[in-house]
Amino acid sequence: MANTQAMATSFKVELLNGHHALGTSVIRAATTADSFKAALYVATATINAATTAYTATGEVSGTGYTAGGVDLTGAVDWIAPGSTGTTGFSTPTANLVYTTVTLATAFDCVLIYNSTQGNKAVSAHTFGSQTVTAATFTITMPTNDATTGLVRLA
Amino acid sequence: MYDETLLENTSHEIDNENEYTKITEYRLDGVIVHRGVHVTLKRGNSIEAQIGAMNG
Repeated sequence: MANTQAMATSFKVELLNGHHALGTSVIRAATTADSFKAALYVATATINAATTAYTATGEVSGTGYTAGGVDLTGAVDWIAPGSTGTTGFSTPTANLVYTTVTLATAFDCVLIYNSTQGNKAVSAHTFGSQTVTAATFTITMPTNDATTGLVRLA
Repeated sequence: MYDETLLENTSHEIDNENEYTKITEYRLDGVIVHRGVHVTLKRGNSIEAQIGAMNG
């Protein structure tokens, strides 16, 4: 047998479960899952990898849309983190649904953030620019696996 | 709300490597009175984990 340099796959899943604290600014005391929300942003906003938390700057506005976006729903917000091969992954349990909204300014981004932990940003996802008129806007999640899961640690 | 017989219904789709989107529109006298959008993301974000080597 030989040794192989690698990051433990279990570590990736454990990160998604909040098991490891490599720094000293540990804030987790609860043993329950955090709650998350999803906010929409206009196409001219600047939401990207440098986004650290939810911001109202560039967020959409309009009839039926509540600032901050919608809560992730389901019995739990995220499918239990798992791994396949060397990739850890998880995906929100349910679709993101913005019911009966009118969003007249083109938008193309959803930011998922942790509303339990100071609105810290998780990930931003873009799509073709859209407007919505007196109707529902729905984002269906990708298949939860090592190739397409919404958040993957490869 | 609207007499549905007066509404013009159109729908179209976008299908690319990032998403599949279906858009449904209703127009009354050429004005959009309903535009619903359903985006299906095909994939999320991936972080490639890397570790360094120990010097010794």
